[in-house]
Amino acid sequence: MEDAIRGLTEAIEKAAAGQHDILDFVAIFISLAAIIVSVYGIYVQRKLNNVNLQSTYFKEIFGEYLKKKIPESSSKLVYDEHGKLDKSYREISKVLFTMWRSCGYFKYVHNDFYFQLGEMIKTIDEALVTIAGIREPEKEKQSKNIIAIHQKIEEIVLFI
Amino acid sequence: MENLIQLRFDKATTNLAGNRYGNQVFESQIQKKLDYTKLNIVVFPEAIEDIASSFIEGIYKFIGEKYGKTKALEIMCLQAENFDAQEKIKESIETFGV
Repeated sequence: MEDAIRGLTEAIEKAAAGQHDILDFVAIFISLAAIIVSVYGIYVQRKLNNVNLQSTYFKEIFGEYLKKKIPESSSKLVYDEHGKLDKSYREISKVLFTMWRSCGYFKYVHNDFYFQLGEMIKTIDEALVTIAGIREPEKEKQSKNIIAIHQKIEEIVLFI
Repeated sequence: MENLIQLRFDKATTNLAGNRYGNQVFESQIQKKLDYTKLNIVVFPEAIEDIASSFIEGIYKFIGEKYGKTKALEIMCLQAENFDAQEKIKESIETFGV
């Protein structure tokens, strides 16, 4: 970019001194184009750096949750012999709450993502607490409830 | 100085969920008993085993909007007789605030 600016300065100086010809104007045009391309290049590079940084944070913050903690906790979602959701369901909310607390970085760089994720977690928590409070003796309805929770968890995983 | 407000629910109720329901419980069982010169401790009975974060938001909705979220926690504190429910209240407020 320095060369482009130097070229542009020289061409302008020549033009101002009245020693210009068509080649000077071509030089000015080429130098301006080179400056614009350089500035755009810097902008794109910065954006790429930002994306790389964010994807590193995504991996660091969510990696373990997506690979291990969420699947492990949601696999414990079962009904007991009395038709009540086994108490281990509480682990799902606990894992999701902890995950949300640890992703505070996104509150500043991806505000919409951060708050939408929070709302999705609250929705799952509400659904879990609601179905856990109702005795459900019918196996078919038990399966339906469990599938509904798994779908909500899937939505969160896909959203992240 | 503390002002204890004991909540009562239907015998079959073990879990509480829903922003609207939380707000409804606030209006029907808490609002008139609040003493703004004291710390109001709202007590959930032992039978209540789990409380959703949405319910907690709903129960704090009115005072949160009127006095701000930090002040709301100074005016009213939630306490559960059931250990699991108490843990959930703590975790929910730590995570989402009120």
